[in-house]
Amino acid sequence: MSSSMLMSIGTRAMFAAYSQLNTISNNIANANTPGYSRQQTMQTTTEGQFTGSGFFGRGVTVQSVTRASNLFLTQQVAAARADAAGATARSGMLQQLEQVFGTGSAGIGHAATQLFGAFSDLAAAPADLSARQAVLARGEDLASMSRSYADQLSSLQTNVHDDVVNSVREVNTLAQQVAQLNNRIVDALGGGHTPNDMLDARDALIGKISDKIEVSSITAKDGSVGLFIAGGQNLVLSNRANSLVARADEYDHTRVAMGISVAGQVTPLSSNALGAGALAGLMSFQNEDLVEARNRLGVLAAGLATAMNTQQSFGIDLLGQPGAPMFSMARPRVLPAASNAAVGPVFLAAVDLAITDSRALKASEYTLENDPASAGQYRVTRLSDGQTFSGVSSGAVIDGFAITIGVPAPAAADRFLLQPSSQAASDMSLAIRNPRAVAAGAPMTAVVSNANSGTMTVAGLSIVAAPGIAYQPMSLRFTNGVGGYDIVDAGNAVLASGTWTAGSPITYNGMALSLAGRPALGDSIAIGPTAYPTASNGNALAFDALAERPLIDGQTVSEAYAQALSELGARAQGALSTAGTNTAVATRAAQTLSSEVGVNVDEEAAKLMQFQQAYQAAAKMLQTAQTVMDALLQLGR
Amino acid sequence: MRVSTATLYATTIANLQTRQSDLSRSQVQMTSGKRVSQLSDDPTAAAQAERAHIAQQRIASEQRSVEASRSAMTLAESALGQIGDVLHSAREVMVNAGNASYGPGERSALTMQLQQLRGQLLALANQHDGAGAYTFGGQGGNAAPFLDTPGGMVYAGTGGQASVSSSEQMPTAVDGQSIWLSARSGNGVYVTSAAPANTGQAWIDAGGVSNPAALTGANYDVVFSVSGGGAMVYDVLKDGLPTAVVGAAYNSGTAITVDGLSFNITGAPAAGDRFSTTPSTASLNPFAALDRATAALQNANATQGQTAQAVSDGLRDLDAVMSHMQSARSGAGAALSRLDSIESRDQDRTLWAKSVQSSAEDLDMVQAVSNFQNQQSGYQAALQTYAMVQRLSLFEYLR
Repeated sequence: MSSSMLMSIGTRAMFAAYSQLNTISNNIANANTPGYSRQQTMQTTTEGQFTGSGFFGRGVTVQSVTRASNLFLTQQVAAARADAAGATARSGMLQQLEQVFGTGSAGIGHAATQLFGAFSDLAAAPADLSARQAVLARGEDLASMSRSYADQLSSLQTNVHDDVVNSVREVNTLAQQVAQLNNRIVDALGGGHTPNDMLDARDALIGKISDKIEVSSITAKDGSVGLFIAGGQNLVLSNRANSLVARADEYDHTRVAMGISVAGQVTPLSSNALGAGALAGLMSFQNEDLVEARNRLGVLAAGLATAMNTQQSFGIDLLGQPGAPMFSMARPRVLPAASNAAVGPVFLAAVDLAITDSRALKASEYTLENDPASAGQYRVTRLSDGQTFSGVSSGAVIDGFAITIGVPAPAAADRFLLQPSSQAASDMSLAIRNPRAVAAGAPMTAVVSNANSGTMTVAGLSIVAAPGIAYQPMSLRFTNGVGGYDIVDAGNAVLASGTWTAGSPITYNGMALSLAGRPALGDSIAIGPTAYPTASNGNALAFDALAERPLIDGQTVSEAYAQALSELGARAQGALSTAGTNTAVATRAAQTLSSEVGVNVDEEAAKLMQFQQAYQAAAKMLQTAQTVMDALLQLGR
Repeated sequence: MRVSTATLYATTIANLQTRQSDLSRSQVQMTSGKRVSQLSDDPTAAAQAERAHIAQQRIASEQRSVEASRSAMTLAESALGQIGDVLHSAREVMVNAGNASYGPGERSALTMQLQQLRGQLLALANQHDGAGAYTFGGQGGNAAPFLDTPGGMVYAGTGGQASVSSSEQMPTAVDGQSIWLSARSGNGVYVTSAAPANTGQAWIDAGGVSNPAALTGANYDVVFSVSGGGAMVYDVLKDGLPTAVVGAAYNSGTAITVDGLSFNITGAPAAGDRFSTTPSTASLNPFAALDRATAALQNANATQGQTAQAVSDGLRDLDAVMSHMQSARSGAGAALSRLDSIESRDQDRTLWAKSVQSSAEDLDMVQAVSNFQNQQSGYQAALQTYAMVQRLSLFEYLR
């Protein structure tokens, strides 16, 4: 047992304590570095030396520097971050979306009600040009508000597109970096020690990718990590990274779709399969929330404008002519899928839509494809609720619009996106500029004969449909005491007969005549073309009454708008609360992880003192060894 | 459990931020007075407030219609009142004209007054509201509704009643044709008249109905003749055909009753004089009545019987027109009262809509202030603990 043994143990102890101090200092220095994991110097006892008197310890050995890590918690944090980022991205967009739909006097419901009110004012002074001008001004307000809403929805769509493109670029850069780190980590692990800082860096990169898109990571035997997205698509494998691509939606070029490019081959990624992450949140906002908002706005605009145009055609303007359409709007749109059969840029097959009954329109888009069950027919799917209509052929009417299949017929794999109303608001504009063109007058007027002996009065004569035959002067006569009547023309030829029952109008040739009181035998009503269009307000009153009519899928305009508001509000509220919950979960997970791998400065301070003392003690050992050596040297003197 | 120092700080700061944003939200709510400032705050309440807002707009619009109708009906009501006054003056003149002591000169002077009053009536009938609409314009025309043509008064418009609401009766014009030109002639059931060729001094009154069940709707003629005994007798013809009444003795002022009709012939008829009744029609207008009375009174050669007949007919017609106008006036009054009730109902509905909107989106101030104070003390406590905790470090003690 040589006296240098003591010296050797002391030196090793000093080295170990110094290493510890080094690691502790590094921990303290990085206490606030994001992604840093606490490091630890691993020290073990050196194997003892066998002598006749047994084993003598040979001091301490520094084995390695390791980092505190917990694979499970790290993955949990990444998953929670993805959930939180997805919900937050969607919620942020929804909050912008809900700002588009104004309430109270900033809303379309208000603008439409103002327009109806302007017609009511016009009814009080049908010849007054300024009242007519007010109708046009309110109509312009409504049209421009619709356009402005639609514009804001378009700019949200542009924002989503840009966000997705930027996020995809970011993910691709991060994935490249993970692949490079994989390479270096594999090399470093070959040296026998863990490259703690590189592992930290890789975990941080994976966390950043998770913010954008949910990934599952699998660590290979060689220490590299494979990243998989969208349920199995390979993003990073060993030292090779594939790239995400943002591309145009197969139907609508303004919408963005995602794909992954593997060896130059792009596979489309369904937005439902993306899982979580900001990209998934943005895609679901684009494909669900924004589409819903556009459909609600579109069906509102289409229903209102069509009803106003129809009513306008029922009336007569100041010149006595049938009214021209009041609003113009975009035609229903059909978008062929990019994959449809085409020659060059021109698709072979075309499908056309026409609105037949605006009141039956639903706030939805539809897809059309060949019906697998019956050849030569088509299957239409309503996207809002997944309802399918099978066996559809050209000319069929679904939800208020007619489908015309062009020639040649679509190929077997062709698909189309049908937008009967979703574009209506974007192009809505006032089509008449001349106040005289407002059709405030009713084309026909009913006058009760003064010679009548009953108490009957005319409660109203309204036009409910376009006339089947030209309007002509005629007269309605009661032929008995219980409501039987004849309608006769100027030459006394009977045009129609029937029996009037109280409360239900008499209809003939698109006119509905409501009576109040009781007619007596022989009583008559003269019905003739309105002699003085300037003084007639019948159609203005009918316009005003539209406010209470179910114009949009069984609802009045203002009800439909209020429902759109509550629907969007509920979406925004739901997304906000999900974002809050998910963020709390992510924070909680991050706290749990950091309690395991993070640096506590107090702990490091305690260790600092501990190893400072250890270092001092080891130095004392060296001093003792020196004293022993000196004593030995004294003996030789 | 180990607490990572960095996380400790980050969490505390995040919590402080949350509390601060809560506080700021409360403050925004309190300054705006609104609990719902965007849809996501409370989608159901936002939709409710939207519906209530629209309801208020609709009511305000109806209220403007009520005002338009009220202004027209007030004008009509006052016009009808003035018409009553004018007709009343005409009636007084007519009564005056019946004065047996007046000669043709006096009567001619009185007819000047009648013509004057007729002019006033026409002005009232064509009254307009200053904004292009005529009070008695009915469903409208191009110009003044009444045209005084040589053939009589013509209604140049569309009959019926203009209205400003499709759901409520809110008239903006009165049916001039029915009010001015369609009073029931005679006594409302039949019209009595004396043949122009009569030479006697007798005249027939407006008559009445003694038995409504016996009415036939036929024309009757009473023809006088002198009986073999020299007495004045009469026959009653029904639609020109003889009836059971033949050679009945005539007593001046005694009612003659035929098939439910009952009328008096007063004075001394001459043989061959003829009086008739025809069923009443809805064709009486005050202008024509005044014109007829004027013409009869201006006849300087009129017998006393003819003058009396003219006065009797004139009074009968004026009374019929006055009662017709009276009922139109009460119609206008009823419209005004209906408008009042619509307005009061609208006020109630506005109040209701406002309270719905307010309860949906307005802030409960008491609760808000209490919440705010709660959040304020929470925030203060968080700040204090942060300040205290961040001073605690082992390094503080290593000196």
